[in-house]
Amino acid sequence: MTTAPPAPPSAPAPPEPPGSPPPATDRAEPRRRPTGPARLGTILAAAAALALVGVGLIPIAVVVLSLPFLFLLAFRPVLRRLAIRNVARRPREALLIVVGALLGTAIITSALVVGDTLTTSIHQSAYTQLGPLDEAVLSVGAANGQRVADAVAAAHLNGVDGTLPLFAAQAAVSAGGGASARAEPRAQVIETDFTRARAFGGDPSATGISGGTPAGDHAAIGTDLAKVLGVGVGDPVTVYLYGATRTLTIDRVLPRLGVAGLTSFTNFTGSTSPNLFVPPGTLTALQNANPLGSLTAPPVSVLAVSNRGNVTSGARLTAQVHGELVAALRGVPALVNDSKQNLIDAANSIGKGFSTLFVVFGAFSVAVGILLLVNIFVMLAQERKQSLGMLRAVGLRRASLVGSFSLEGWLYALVSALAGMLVGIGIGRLVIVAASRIFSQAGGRRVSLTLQFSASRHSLQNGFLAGFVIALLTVVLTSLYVAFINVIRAIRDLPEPPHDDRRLSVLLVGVLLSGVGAAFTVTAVSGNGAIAAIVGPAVLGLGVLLLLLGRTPLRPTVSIVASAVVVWTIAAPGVLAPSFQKASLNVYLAEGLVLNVFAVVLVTVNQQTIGGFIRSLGGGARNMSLRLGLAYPLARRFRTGMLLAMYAIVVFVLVLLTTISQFFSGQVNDQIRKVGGGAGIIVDSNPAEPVAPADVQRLSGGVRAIAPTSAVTTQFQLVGSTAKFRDFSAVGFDDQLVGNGAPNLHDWARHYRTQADVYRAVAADPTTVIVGRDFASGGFGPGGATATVGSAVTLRDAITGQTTTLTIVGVVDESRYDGVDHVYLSRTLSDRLFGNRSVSNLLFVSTAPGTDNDALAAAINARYVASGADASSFRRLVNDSFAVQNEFLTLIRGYVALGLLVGIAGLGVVMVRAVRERRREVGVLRALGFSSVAVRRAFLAESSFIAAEGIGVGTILALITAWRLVNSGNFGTGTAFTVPWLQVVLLVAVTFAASIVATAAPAIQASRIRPAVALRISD
Amino acid sequence: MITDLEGRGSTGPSQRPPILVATGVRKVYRTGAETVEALRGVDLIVEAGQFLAVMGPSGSGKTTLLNCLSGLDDIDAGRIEVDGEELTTMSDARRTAHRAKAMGFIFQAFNLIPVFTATENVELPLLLAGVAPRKARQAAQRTLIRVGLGQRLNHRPTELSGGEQQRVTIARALAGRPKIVWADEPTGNLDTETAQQVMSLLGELHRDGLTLILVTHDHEIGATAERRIEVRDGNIVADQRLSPPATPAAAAVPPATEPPAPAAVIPAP
Repeated sequence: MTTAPPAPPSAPAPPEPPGSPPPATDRAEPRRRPTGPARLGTILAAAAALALVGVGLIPIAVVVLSLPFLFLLAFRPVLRRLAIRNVARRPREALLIVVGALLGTAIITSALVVGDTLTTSIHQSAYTQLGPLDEAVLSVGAANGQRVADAVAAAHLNGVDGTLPLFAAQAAVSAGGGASARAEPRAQVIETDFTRARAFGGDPSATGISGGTPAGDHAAIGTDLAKVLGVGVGDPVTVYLYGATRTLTIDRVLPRLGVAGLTSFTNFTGSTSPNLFVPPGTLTALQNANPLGSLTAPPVSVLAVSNRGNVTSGARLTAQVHGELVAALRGVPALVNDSKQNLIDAANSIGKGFSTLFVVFGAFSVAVGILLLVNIFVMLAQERKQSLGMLRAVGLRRASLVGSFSLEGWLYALVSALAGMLVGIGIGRLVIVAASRIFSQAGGRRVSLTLQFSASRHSLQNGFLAGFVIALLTVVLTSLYVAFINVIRAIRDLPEPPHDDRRLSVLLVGVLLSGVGAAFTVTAVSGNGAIAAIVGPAVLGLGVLLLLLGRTPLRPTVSIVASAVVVWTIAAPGVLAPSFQKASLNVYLAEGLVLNVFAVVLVTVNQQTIGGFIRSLGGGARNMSLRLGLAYPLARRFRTGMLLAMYAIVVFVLVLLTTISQFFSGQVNDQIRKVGGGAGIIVDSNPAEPVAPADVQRLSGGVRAIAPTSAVTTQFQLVGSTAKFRDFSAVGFDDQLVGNGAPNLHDWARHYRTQADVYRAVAADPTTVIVGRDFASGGFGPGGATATVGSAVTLRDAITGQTTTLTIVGVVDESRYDGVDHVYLSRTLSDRLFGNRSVSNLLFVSTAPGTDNDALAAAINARYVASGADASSFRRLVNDSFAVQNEFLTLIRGYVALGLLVGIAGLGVVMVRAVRERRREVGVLRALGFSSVAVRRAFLAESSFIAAEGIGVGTILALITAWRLVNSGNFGTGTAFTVPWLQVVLLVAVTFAASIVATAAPAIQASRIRPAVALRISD
Repeated sequence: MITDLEGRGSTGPSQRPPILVATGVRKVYRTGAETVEALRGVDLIVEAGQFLAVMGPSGSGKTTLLNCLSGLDDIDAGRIEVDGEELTTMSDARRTAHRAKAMGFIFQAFNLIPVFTATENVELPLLLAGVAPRKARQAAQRTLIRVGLGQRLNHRPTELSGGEQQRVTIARALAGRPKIVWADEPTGNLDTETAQQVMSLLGELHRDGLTLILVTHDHEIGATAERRIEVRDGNIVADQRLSPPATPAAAAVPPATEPPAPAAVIPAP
């Protein structure tokens, strides 16, 4: 930057007197010895070096990005002074800029922190609840268990430092009697040797086991089960299993830790540990006394395997140990389950999934933050145009001017990113508090995931960097605006002359964008990519606009192109339905942004017409406040457009979520019909002691029919998929299910005429299966692969590891309820695969009209505690599911509403600046007879107009998009679109009112401007 | 008679009623601990239809005097009566309404509303005074044609030259047929030729009976007035009647129906 010849080395620069005007040009600045600023540079360089050495890549990135600004700060005193004094000159506005910019960082940081918390919490549950157990080898019955233990012991596995045999069965356990009786229908009754258990894994403190092995009539109870039953040491509990009972006295309560806190041995995430440790032989004795015979599931043998290392490091050897175990158990009917690694993988996946979800929804707010920054900096540049022009006139180079402006932006970016990171931690905490409640509702009493707030250094650094880069990039790009300031026009505050829209550069960019957009569009139409289907036509539209600029009338051209893009964006998911079926959340983000941006463009070019209409409604020319209030936003289209976009984007997301949320609530009856398939109640019971259909029939005269099915936890995987096996409940059914619990099908093989035909065919054909729509996506929102009719799936027995391949012939609308995913297959196949574990433990009960299904379900639960009966009406299941869904949508809405704060703050900032810009004009108006009330009204009319227009655009687009979503069948077929007017109106009214409140202060300030004072102000 | 209350510079008995009577007007500016007495008890009477030039060096208090007399600024002591109404006891709302009804303003920096066209700027005070929109629009256009801007009716201020902007300002000041027009250095931002055109326009309007109070530091401009007062250190130190009104450019004023020669656009550097 320094082009002047350097000063002689022997001639030190004279010290700069305080308050002296800046040198005419930075060219004229003599080179200085490393005095104050240079020392600062040295310090900053040292800080940078420190970051390079010890702190990691992200701080290095921040330092590298900051280097040009650190250089300016240290070696360009004029630019430094300009930047710092401009920040300090208006501290209130500086604060507003920082607040506007920090929200982007805060949103990103909070999303990452939410992911961190979920990941850490599930990791933690893996370490505490599984303790030293890294793998579990499962087999059916005591004999197979012994074979497994012998085979593993004989193999002397390298990666294993200990094993522990357990023998377990699911049973109902009760305590107390009469009205105070309490029961847990799904307790885990476990036999194991406590001495071996304490030694298991080499760290007794990590096992949670204390004392000797329970003996006689005593048992050790896990803390979770003790809480459910309300029992302590000395209290009796009764175990119900295989039609027999056994009463035991509690002699100790064990923590939810390690072996004592063992949770499900397969993949279940975040479950409680309702464990009861009983004396060895108890299960066998109960089984031998089994009056139910072969209709019950036998106990499961589990060989817990601990890898070398501690509870956390052991999992790293899982792959090796898994291989060794499989080799050692060749020929033994057992399944090696990588319990801890699976839980850790699930933790990572869930954490990442939630992070992504919050980042995507937060991205709308981040976009709003970016618009705010652009708006503020363009306004700053306009406000300072004259002084910037003067600086250019006295010799400041163009690059230096940009540098000074960018330096100011860098200071804002740095401070706001730092503050945003801290605010993000706070927002993350709030989200976690809300999410904890939702999780506890979603999982019911069997899930107890304690969310432990966690914010990793990596996430905080990522959040900081993302916010810093976004703010910095926005500011630097906006700063280029000042580079094009014409000195004379700036000094004399003359308007910029109209650009030559037909210049070559515009043409070239138009050709480029049109080409890129067309290529994307062609790709999308040929069925490859939903993102391309949204972004392609938008880019093409932009390119076409540039090509037509100056050649056709502006307003009609822009109106036609923008309308076309809006219409296409709304219609595309219907027109190219197959591409959008696999659409990720990013597609919805792109759709929302493109829709709103082009709608705002459409509105912006037609503002005069809209303004004229509003003026005519508001009393025409007589209403001077309205006229003046509309004149400014209509004249300053860029500024107004940015504000409109800010409002439209956030309101769009909020209204869309509100409408969809309401839509779910309105679908209860339809959903009950679809999920229940004609049945009113579902009765699950302990496979070791199932509830008999005849017993239920006897219980109430309202029972019309019962379809008995078997439900066995099984693992499935799409053939060809690299994803791990996931747990499902395999429902083995026969013809009785048709019309009495067969859930509604979304799609089925074309050669079946009706849904009933599909179910009958599957009941008769053990090579086919019916799965849920989110079978392959893990049930976690859009984005995963979709199971389709004709796909092949592999079924794996969760205990024996036996596999079989089935073909999907039907896809169920909703296969997940009460926290369990269902897959429907023939009962014959179930019996063949699972043997005596395939019992009729899942009953679909159809009732006569007028029957109180909830009362009947409660009666079944009370009557069959010993069977672990868990009956629910489908109405309750659907209501609970919708309640959780709505609560989650509310959480997301609250999160998105942060963007609304940015929008409202942005409008406030713009109005504050508008008052400052227009002081003279207000003075003139006051001199001409405009009353102070009229001035206030004019400013309020202006902010009301912008807020109302933005809210209107967002609301209309959201309602159209919601209508399209509902009618696309994404939320099921045969559904009707309704608008939740009350909620939408409330949302709109609150947003509007908040906007008016935020702009009331500047409006009042404007009304208090004294004309003589305002007129004295120089430009 | 054209005089201050002490009779300084009086040149004979007045034939016209006073439109402005100010007595003992004091104005003090306070900035932190510092106070500046901008007006030190000014007395002034201006007759209806008079063309008064307020002159004085920079910082003498000319603009402050104009602001105070017109009611744009509050005073610390004294009494001001314009067109029979006492400003000093009026509420801000009433004073504002009085300004809309009886006064017009012309500023050095034009001070047009940038988002309004020339017509919209001119009709503004008419609408504020309650004139029907259609009538206001017609009157505004008539006035603009009169000041020679018939071809610029729908142009925004940024699309007009400095002289044209000042003529819009004059049209705005006159459109409501005010009784008194206050002009603060109306030619300060204009080149000589354009300044002459503006002054001849003002002179013509004055001859039509308009009371014109003009602040200027330009002696040539001041010499075109009927009466001239000199302000120094917040006091009126001289009051002189220039009779008959010297309007050297008056002869060059074009007829009202014809637009004057286009004002020179500020040359680009």
